[in-house]
Amino acid sequence: MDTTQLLKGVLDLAVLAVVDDEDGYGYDVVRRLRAAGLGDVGDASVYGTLRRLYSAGALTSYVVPSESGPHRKYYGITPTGRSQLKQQHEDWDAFADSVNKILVGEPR
Amino acid sequence: MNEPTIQLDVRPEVEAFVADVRRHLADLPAEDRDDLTEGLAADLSDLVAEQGPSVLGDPAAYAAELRAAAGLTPGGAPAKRGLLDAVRDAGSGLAARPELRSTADFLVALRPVWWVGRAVAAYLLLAGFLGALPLLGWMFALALVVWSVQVGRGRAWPGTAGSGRMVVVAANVFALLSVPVVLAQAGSSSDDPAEPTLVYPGALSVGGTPVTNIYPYDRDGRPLVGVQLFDQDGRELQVDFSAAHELSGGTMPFPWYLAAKGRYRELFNVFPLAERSQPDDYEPLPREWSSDRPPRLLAPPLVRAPAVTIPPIAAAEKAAAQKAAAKEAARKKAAQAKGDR
Repeated sequence: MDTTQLLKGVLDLAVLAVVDDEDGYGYDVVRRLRAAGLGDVGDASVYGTLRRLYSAGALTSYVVPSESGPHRKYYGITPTGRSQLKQQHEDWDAFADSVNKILVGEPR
Repeated sequence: MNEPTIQLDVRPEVEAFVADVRRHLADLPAEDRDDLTEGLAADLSDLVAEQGPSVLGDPAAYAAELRAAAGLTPGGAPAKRGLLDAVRDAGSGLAARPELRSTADFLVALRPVWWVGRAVAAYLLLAGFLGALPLLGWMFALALVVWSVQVGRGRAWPGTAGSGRMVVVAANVFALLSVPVVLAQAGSSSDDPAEPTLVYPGALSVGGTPVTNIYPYDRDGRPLVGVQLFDQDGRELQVDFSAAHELSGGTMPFPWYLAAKGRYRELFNVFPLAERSQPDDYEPLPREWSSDRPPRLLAPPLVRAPAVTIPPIAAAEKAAAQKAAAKEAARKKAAQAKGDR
């Protein structure tokens, strides 16, 4: 099954959850998502999602200056983001529950 | 959580990739584009460090994915690409080939050397025009080095984008061309006539032809031996023995020696120089004088040179001659008087 389509629906939720756990910069978030099992997640998708969540006020961002090389942009969760995470978490639980029920009822 | 500052090295291919992605986002407001790509170089550097440069795919697809995930409108045509971008892409493509990868990495590692080198070249060129710069010059040189390195790191004007890059390219080409000039200048300044070496760049020549020997005569025209020659500043007027050997077809001039504390110094400013035919212009050691074939002082080209004078000497000689004549006359007169008695 192509997980890319599934990922699209839950990427916001997954990213919010990861950043809620601990602030992180773009690639750090990618790494944590992949380590958690979302191996197919594209880094550009994560960076774009971070940017979109930031625009929507769900994330804050701050730049950590570097003595050499580029600055690193960290993201942290906001109260808005936290309530969005809580809402989406409940939605996901309900959705996954429904899908699981359907799958259990399915003849094997 | 996170350290206050971090150290990151951005590989050139990452820099190029980020610039490409930014070009594909050129239609976005600058703020959106900056938000999307700020930190991208750092993130991609991590990625490349873990998985190698091949992980960087198509910048257009990457930009599209960024854009879609960020909920922004799909883009139109990418921004116009300049000549510099094309050249850089060609270079990056070449550097990414497996057989050239290590060479490219080595050259990239050498970039700081070039940053310092071009600053030194610029300083030496300026110093050449302005004359020797004292303490202030050193501070100026240091400032040039700092500036050059900051430009190289993209931290000072003009950074990694913009038309100013063309100026930097031009300046780099100029610096590269000036290197031979600077090296020649540095080389010639080390020719210090006060420090004799085996080959004397300040050796005597007449009309561009090296002088191989000198035969001095006194004012009466008689040959002299062991005449030491110095110029108006007390520098030795010396013969270049290598040039003399080569020019004469194998006649080696032998120096006079200045002995001091068990050591000796060869003097090629004492004339005439003894000579010996030998195939090589090896060092003319004193022991050669006691060998089977010792060097010899040759007969001077003129048996006798004309007698020469200047008015004071001529006058003094005339006076001396008159005095001698008077004295002689007086003596004769006295002798005559004695005989008369």
